[in-house]
Amino acid sequence: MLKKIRSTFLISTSALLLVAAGCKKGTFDINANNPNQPSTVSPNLILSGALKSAADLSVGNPGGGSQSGNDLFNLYMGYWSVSGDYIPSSALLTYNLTTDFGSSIWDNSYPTLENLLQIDKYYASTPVAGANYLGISKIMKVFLYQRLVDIYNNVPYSAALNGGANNFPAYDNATAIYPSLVNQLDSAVTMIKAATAAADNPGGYDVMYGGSMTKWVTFANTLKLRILMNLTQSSGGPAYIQSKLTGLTTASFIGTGADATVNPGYNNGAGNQQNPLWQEIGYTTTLSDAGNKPYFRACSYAVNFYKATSDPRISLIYTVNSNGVVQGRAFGSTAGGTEHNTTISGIGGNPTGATQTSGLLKSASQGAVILSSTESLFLQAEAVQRGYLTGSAATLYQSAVSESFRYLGVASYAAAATTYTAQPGDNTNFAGSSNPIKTIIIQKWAALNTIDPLESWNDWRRLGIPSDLPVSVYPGTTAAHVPYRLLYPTSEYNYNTNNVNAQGSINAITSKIFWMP
Amino acid sequence: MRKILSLLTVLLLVIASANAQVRSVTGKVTDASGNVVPYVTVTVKGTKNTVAANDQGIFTIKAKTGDVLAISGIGLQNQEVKVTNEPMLSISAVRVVNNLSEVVVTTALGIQKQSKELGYSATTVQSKDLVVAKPVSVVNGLTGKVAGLQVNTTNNGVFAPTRVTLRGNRSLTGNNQPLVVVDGAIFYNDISTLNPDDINDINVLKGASASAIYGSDASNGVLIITTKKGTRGKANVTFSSTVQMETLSYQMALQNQFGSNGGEQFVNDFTDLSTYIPYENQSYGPRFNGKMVPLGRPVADGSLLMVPYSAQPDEKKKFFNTGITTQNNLSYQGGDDNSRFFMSLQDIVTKAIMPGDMGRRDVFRVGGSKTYGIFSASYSAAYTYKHTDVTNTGTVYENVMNTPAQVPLTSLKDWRNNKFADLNGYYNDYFDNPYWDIDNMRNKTTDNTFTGNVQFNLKPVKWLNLSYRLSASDWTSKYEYTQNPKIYSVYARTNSTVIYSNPSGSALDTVQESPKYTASSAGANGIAAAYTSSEYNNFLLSSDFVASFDKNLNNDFNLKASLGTSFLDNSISGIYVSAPALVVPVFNITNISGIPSVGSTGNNYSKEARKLGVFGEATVGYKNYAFLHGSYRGDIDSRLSKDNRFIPYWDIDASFVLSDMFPSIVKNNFLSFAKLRAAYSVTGNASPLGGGSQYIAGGAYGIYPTYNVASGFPYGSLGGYAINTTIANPNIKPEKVAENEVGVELGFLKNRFYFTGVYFQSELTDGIVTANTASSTGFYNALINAAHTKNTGLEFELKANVLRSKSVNWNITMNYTHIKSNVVSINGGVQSLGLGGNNGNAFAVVGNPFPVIQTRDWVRDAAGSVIVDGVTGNPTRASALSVFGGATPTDIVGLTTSLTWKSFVFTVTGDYRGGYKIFNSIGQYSDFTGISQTSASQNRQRFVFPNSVTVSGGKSTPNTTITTDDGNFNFWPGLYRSVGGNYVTSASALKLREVAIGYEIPKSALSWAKVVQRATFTVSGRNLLMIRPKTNLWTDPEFSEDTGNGVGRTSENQAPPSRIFSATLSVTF
Repeated sequence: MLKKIRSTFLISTSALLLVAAGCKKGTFDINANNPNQPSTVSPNLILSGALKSAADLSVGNPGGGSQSGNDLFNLYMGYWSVSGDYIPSSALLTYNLTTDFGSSIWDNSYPTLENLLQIDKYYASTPVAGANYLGISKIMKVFLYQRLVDIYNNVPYSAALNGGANNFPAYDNATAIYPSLVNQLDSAVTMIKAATAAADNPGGYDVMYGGSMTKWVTFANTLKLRILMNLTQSSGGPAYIQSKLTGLTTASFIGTGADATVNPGYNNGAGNQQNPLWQEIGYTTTLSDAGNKPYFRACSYAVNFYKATSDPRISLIYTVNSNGVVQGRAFGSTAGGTEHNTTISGIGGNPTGATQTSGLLKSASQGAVILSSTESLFLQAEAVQRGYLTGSAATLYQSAVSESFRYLGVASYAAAATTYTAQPGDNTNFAGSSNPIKTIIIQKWAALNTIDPLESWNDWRRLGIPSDLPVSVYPGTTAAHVPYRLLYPTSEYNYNTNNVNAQGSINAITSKIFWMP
Repeated sequence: MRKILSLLTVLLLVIASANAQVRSVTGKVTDASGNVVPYVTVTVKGTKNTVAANDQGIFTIKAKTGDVLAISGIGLQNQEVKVTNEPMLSISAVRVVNNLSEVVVTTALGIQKQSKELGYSATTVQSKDLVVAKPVSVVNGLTGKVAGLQVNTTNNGVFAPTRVTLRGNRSLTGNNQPLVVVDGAIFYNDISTLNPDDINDINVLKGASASAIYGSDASNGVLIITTKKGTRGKANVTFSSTVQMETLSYQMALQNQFGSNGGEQFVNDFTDLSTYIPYENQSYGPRFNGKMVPLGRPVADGSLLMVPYSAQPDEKKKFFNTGITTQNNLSYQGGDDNSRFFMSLQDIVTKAIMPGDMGRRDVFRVGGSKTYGIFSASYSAAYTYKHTDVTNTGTVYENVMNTPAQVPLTSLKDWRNNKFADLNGYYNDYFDNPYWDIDNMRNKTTDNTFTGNVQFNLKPVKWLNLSYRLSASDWTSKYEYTQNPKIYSVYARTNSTVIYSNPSGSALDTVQESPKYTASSAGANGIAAAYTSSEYNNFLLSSDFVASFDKNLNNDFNLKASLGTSFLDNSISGIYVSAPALVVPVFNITNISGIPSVGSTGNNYSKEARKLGVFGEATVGYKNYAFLHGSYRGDIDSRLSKDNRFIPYWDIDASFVLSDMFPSIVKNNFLSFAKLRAAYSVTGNASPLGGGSQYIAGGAYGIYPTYNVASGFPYGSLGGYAINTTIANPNIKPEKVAENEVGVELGFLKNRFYFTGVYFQSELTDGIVTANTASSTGFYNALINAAHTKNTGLEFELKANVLRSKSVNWNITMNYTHIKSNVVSINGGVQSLGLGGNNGNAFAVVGNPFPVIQTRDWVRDAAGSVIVDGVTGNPTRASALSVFGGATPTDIVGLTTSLTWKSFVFTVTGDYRGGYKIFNSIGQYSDFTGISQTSASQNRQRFVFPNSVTVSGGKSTPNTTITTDDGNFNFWPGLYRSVGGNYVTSASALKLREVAIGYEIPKSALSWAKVVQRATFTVSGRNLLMIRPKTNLWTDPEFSEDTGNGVGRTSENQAPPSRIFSATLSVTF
């Protein structure tokens, strides 16, 4: 019996040891370090990712589909129309906006902002080393927040980006966000200017300026001008603008040939490595039509404008049809057989997908425009014209038009621009204009086709220019004008319900952004 | 940890030394065929001296030679045996024929218990009931046979996928499928890799009480599968061969009145043949009239395919083949007093109804045991090879079903030689010939699975058993996708000539249009060859030690107890590479065109998680009629943070055999058995960390923040990262499931009728959800402990031996389950949570069962009538989602009956599932293409929307006059299709699952073959009949887009339902 007990003991002990063999200290700590994804990354890698994602928001179609971000603005601003070869979307064509329209702008902006915030967290305790990074992060946050305010008015700002601690961020008043953005830009500029040699420089990971911090200062100043100019029609706006432009001159802003573009190394090797605009309305890597290329077509309103002013940019913005001419289609048109894609021009100016030097679409590797020199010069022209800055509005106007010609690749662009603006009429001729602001804004509208349709929408909402901007001709359209804003996205109504409902009922056609007159 | 283990050892030692041997009579109980009969009750006649035999049928009792022992047990004839001088009494127990109460069940940890001891639900399904209709997958053989068990075959095709749930769903986003245990070891492989013929029995432990001992993996119940290990007696070889035929059983309701037009020209005169578009895939054209019309564009040699403009309604059915599956099984088994041996081989070759889809499965198994005195060992090992070679079955089905009705599809099969069938000449501008797809787009998957386990038992003293088991399983799945290039001829790319009918169909008109391939998504030169290769490996090592005690404490009390530890280590790894375009169509990644794949097209990962459980359980029996059972387990789970890593689980349950306690109640012979039971348990799990994966490694690393490669990166050598869009939460605790259960079991007329009734309630708290967050938080999701759900249910089971005579024996088993689930809360004020997976319409919504189907409805007035516009007559799509109903059945009825008459056995299994809804997105797609019956229901004319009203000044007026502004292309594929609610129908279905007739060939007929012991011939059918409500025009409501929690939607990307007929010959030598 004793023997039995002893063997029992021996065997049971060894069995238990076998079971426990793996159970050393740390046996159950194997899941803290993920072998597949990093738990921390250095800020340069976050910056490159965030800048690229800002570029997607700025010129691309981040959520896909045909009711997304910049597509909507291009449609509203009379630049684009939709193809007659597809089943019409009555909601799109009658401005019967749902909370899904453009929701990808919102849903992609905040996570991009969250990534910029990670840069701030990384340098929280080492601000000296982080001066450049922190400055860039602030500027890009302002860039993204301005877009959100201009599209949605009140948005989560001070309580946003704090997931985990606050999953239900309250909304800030747009009137309070705007000055805060201006202040953030000021402090970013101060920070960058004060940066010492000890400050880390992102170098090539800064896919906008390659680490050139003076360019970031220029960009910050231009962004500030853009924000301020939106306030021209709001009460107290002009005085505030004037005060905030103190110390800035036309040399402080983005000038000729200095478009702010992001290019992480776009290429034609893979679909998701192409320039986002190219990816959206250009060509696939194998030179087939990109997904939305056949869907979006030239709008007759813009086509008629360019034709009326004999504008050489017309065939650089649009492609010619099989008859060798550019032809547009009214937004909402239900005409059938006469408006096939074979008749109605496409967008981009590049009919083949081959790399070329002119047109909106030049190649899959072109940079994504964040803020063009054209836009900067038009902003300056308006600011000078309104007396906020000193300089020659006429010169700035001429440079702005010339820069647009240059960007699109018009041959001998400076001369061509001079010829163009010499044409009589308020739409082109600044010197003889009966309404110089209108001339500036009209030409700004003509220049920003597809490049920055949101800024054109801002101008129209602020100044009503172009004054004859058409509404959809789709049957059943009741709106008197194109929408004033987008509805808050579905995600807010579903997951931040109380806070978004506190914004009251929103009407996309009539509810205004705070700076609208 | 070590401390606990050594404590356990000390405890074992103490108990062992406390023992003192007594003189006694030892006996062993076996049945007629030599199988052990465990747990019989042995009483020395005329005394109160009673003992129970152990699980090996061995008992020891104090008695003198000459005493009479009374042997009794459930399912046994009472008998008396005289004590002799033999050292070991051999007692041959006689089983009561057709006694319907279960005798012994294998419970958690492989511990066998008498049914009457159990305080919880357990149902055993025997081998013969599983394989009645020769299912390829074990779980198909369980369908309809167990109350509370729901098996969904979620798609059709080669080795169709299944989803199994017990008593409904608990976790919102975690795993809801039961744990599978094979021969005592947790089984992490695809259950369809098991050979149903290898299985001895499956014991279904439904509630958490039964399974608490398995810890976190078992909160959804357990399927305990025991494989065959051989039986004592003469060795025999069984060979069986089955041939199965599979045919398409149901196809969606189609229209056969209108031909092609996709909005190219507005059709308002349905007799005008010039609006028939010969190259279009949508069917919104003029009405069929039998005239000859062109199909497609003219081909390179100028010829044009002319077809009668009339429906070819049988073409779609003819497209599908008759599937053929052959199953061959060979098994050998044998055994003597000390050893058992079993080995088997199964080979299945299957050809599906989708042309070209095929599969093969080979399963090899060996198992056995050996006893040397107090030591015994058993083992089981299996290897499975499974291979499937299928086309993109879903997209081909979609392509076929949406082919316009006038197309003579099957005549275009020969794409290699028929100029109207090849890539250049096929009529359709938007889809290639499905026959081309079948031959040129192939998905090949090869699974290699090895499982093995070895168990050692030591029985130093009669009341103590020590066992140690080590098991490993290794599952590797290799997948390859190859797609040949699509190269179009210069003519096909540039031809702009299209030939139309004139309006009356009497002549042809030639028109110049855009060439075919500039308008479609195909590239200018066609589409390059594509290739994907991936490999997945899932490895599980488990190691268990259990000490079990079985001791009569005194004449009245018996203690059965177990203590043990269990260690689990699971690793999963995978690698995936894809070349969307190859320079040459030689299928290897090195032939890629352009930049090697990055981001979404290439991927690899490896994950590992571990768990250690320490557990104990005990049953105290009083006079063999009252039993109290409790179990406790503590798990250490590596997936959770240090502070939350220890997870306790426990159960307490009790059983009272009223018929033994109060023998007077069974005196009248009407009632023969009565038992009451109750159980309460608390279990938990962390499976939502793995997004519903059944494997623990699936949830590894789930709670800490990580960065992902930002979209598009890297650009050359430039990297970019973005923080994970789910908010990490290291404080995640396991979710908790508390379950109550009460049950009653009653046997009538000598247990010929046996009734079981159960009421259960389970409540999940701290449910882990990856809740959506507003993106303004900076993130899309947050991992939180927030969900709270409740399930209540009733289960009834009736087993009846209706007829019993020398030549006829008729049994009926019926089960009924009613389940009600309710989402109490999700996360603070959040009312709705998308359940993910492929099904975007499956949600958990507070105050509703889950999952529910949510989609858009029409805008309706207060009375529920659809509001139409007073001018256009069109209804409007609602802007918000509406709940359309639960996506899992509330009521399930299963019925199995088997009738034996002389040498014939006749078996039928059917079931009904009701009280739930299904979203038929296949209907949405077919309304887009216009092939659907729905789209032609108003004859393509403007119509008054049924039951509609117009509203003015808040007052509804029934609309009887205002017609929709279109009844054709501008209505059905757009507005009507956009309202998902139009495709939600009742999912109720009554199904005849299995019918089988078996015939045992009489020995006399086999006298010429002396070696043959037994031969049977069986014909059977599966899924013979499905009765659905008329509103379900589309497919089998049991289908689902995947096997995840997001049930309730079928799509056009699924194969059609089918019927299976089998014939089997089985011979035992």
